[in-house]
Amino acid sequence: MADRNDPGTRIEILLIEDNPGDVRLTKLALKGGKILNNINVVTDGAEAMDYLLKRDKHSNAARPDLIILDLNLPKKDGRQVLKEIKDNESLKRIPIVVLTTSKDTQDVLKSYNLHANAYITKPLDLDQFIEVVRSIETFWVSVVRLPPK
Amino acid sequence: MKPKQTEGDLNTLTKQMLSKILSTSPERIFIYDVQEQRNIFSNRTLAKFLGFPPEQKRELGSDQFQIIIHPEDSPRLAEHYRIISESKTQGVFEVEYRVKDASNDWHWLHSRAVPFTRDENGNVTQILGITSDVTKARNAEEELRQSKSMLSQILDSVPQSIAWKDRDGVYLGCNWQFSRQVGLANPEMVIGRTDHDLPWPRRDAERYRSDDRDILERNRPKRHIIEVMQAADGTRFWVDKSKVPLTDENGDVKGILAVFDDITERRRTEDTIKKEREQLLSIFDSMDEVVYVADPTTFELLYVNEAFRRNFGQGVGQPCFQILQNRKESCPFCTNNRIFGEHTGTTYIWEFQNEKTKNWFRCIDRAIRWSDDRMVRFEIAIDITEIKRMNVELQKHRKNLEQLVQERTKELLSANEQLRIKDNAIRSSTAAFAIIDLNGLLTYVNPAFARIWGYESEVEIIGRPFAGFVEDPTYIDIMMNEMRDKGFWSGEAYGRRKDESKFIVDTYVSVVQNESGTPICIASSFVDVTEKKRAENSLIKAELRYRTLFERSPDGVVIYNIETLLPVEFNDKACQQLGYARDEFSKLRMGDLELGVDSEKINERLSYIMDTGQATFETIYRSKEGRLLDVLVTIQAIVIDNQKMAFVLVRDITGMKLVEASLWRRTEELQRSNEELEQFAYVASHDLQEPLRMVSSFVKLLQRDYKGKLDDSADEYIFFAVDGVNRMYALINDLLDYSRVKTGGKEFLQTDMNKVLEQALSNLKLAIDNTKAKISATTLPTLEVDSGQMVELLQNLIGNAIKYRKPNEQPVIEIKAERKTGDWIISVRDNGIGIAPQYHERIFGLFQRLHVWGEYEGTGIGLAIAKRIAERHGGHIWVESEPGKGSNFSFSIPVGKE
Repeated sequence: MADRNDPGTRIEILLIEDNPGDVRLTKLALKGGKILNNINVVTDGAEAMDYLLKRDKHSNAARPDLIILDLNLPKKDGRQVLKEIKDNESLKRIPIVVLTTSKDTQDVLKSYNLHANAYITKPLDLDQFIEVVRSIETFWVSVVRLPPK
Repeated sequence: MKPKQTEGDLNTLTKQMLSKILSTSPERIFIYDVQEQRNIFSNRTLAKFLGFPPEQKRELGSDQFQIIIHPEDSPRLAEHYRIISESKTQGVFEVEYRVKDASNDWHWLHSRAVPFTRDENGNVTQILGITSDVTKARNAEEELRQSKSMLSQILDSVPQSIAWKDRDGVYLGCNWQFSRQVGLANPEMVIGRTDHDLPWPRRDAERYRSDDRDILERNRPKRHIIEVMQAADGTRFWVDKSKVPLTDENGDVKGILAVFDDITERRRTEDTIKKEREQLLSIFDSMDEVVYVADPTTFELLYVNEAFRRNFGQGVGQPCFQILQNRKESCPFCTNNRIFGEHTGTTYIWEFQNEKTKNWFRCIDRAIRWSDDRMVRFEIAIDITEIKRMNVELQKHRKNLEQLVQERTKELLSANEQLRIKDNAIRSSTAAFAIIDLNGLLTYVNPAFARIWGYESEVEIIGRPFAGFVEDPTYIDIMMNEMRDKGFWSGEAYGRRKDESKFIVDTYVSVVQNESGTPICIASSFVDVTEKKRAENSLIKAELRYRTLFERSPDGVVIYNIETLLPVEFNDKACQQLGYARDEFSKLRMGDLELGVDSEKINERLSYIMDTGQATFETIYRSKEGRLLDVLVTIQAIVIDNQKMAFVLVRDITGMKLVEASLWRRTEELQRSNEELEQFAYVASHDLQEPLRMVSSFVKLLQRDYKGKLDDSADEYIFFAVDGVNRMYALINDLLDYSRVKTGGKEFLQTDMNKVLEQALSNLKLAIDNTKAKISATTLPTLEVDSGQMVELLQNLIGNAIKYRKPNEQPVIEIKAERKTGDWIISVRDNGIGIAPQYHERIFGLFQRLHVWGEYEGTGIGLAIAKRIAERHGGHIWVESEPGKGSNFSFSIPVGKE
């Protein structure tokens, strides 16, 4: 088993985001980073679960090393997704960074209660946005030791 | 002796002898030549004579002689020689003079000189002299003289008279005292005389001589002979005389030395003392009191007076305790310890009861000096038995007296009190009271009388005829007539005051009689009823006034009887407003027209009102036509003529209520719309942010990725787009802020505005430092505010002050707080560019800007937010400013929030 922390190993990141603009921006940010990564995108909550559970068309989905989750999602709400993932024995260890437009303290509270690993409000400014996303990557991939798959 | 000696042998012998004589002789023999003025012969040099050392063994010339001769004697010696040398006759000339020897000691030299040879004219040419050293003799003489002198001094300085005589009684000498005593001028006049020659009486002289003979025979002195002598002038004096025999070396009596002291004074004193003592003792004997003197150690009675002897018998020589107290030993209470020892000199007074006689004595004890100089006990004992008894009696009497006095005093006091109360009653009475004598004169008036009649004091009134105090004196006649018949009169009269004003007085006069029925005076009382009358008038007027008010009141006024609940009184309005006629209304009970109340409630309400006094409430009445009226009812508990009543005001507020309702509705609507707007603003701004973010991000990406790749126009377009986006962001943020003033507002708490200012300034630190702004502030108060919003407000105003500064001028900003009625006004004054008056309102509007976007930063929402914050706190915000003269922004916070 390759050590994910070795340079050269690709990181699997799952981005659960419905806003295509934000998808674009996030991909942009992550691409510009130093770490090699595979970014997979799902645009609603239901599909997110399918992907993670390798259901239907996602039977070959790669298990993500990191999940970036928006809260306001169509079909299944992001908060629900969070809950389901963290309730799942095999999935719960995957670090989830909530990246959302909401500043609501209730959302923050709820998210952490549901064991989100981090909660970040999307910055309004482009540069800040890129910075933040890159730092997510840096932190969760280079700094932190991820749990074994 | 050999017979027939030759002349030559004789000469030889005599020469030899002469020589030996000359050399052996201790004296100095010399021949002095007058002409040569020196000694031409001497058997011994003066030097040797004087014992000068061998070096000086030569004849002393006159010079050397001058050195050794005493300067006092030198002229005498010279004179001595002169006399001799000039003498015509033979004779022996003597002189004595002093010279000093080698050791500088003085020698007395005695020279005897005779003329030796003379010349044909008979003048002396040579002098023969013999000089002897008489120093010793002279010294001895001197000593003798000195001791004689001392002896003489001693003799004359002692006080005694001293004289000495020989065996035959001839006075050999005496001292001055003796001669004076005897009456002679000096001792010389005594010497050589016998006692018979001296001026004392023959008898005395005889006595002296016989004494002398006695002494001489027995060779034994006689001392301390006390006798009387007589002086020359006849005065007699007492002496203490001693005579001792004087003996020579062999022990033979050569004479008598007599010494005596004048003791006249002493004897006189002794006499006096003796006389005084006798006098004292006689005093003691004349006293009734017992007096005695006793020895403190032996207790032996040394003296007792007559009184003592009478009481206790003769006791001198006996112990005092035995005679006085019948004791075998000293009394345990003996007071000797009180008068001897350290107490010597103090008088001790004490009382005791004699066991023998049972009498009481007061004793005065003291230590005194007795005739033989010892301190003895002296006591006077005064019999106080009678006094004591009398004292006891006196005490008893005194007690009785005191008691009597106390009782009497009590009686008097209560009598006084009664009088005082009566007097006070009359004095303080507001009713005037007067006593008139039968001649019509006022003999007594009380202060009320004076007051009512307008006088300062009763003094001005007493003695004057009563007629002077009434308006119409004839009324007195009426009074008198009535009193004669009935004994009294009462009625109203006009009194005349001091200032001539008249007044109505309610009068009562009556005749006062003595026991036999004879009238003695007239008692009268008056009540000033002017006031009462005036009060009556006012009352009537008031009545009228109140009735008018009552009738004209815009509200219905009803007075209900609490018992019957029926109206006692009501105005027209009361019944009219409810559509009833007066007679109809008068039958309606309290609460009959009211909706939703039963009699129980009415009673409850009434008892509440009776307790608390009044109640005001809104309720609904039904009019006669059945219309419902909103009414405001005030019920007041009152008492009229001792009867509890309910005073009820009824105000028709139907119209008002309608207005009120509509106002409420409008307010609610406004509130609702406000809230909606709030929400809208919040949601809008919030939701606007999301798409804006998209636009902003991608336009910026465009800018980034394609700058320089498209043409200049594209760059410019992109630039404006980005700029527009930025502005949009700013606006939305500000809009959010603006809406948050209401929605995000926190509760008002006591906040120290100084700390708020601190925070605002801290937030503006960068701007302040960059512009070197000078900021000063007075002490700000503590207010009940939202501290966060206050920081924002101040920060906003101060930030503006810095932002809109004059270029190239240091911004000077003053923050002040001032208390005006109802508000605190906080103001921020700057020296910036100022604002033209026509814009003073607009600047507080939303997004109002007076400058181009690029010139000054900001969206123009700051002041709008500031205004909103001020208004949220119930205050206002405004500006005073002129272009170029800086601005003064002020906002108020109502004091209720302090």
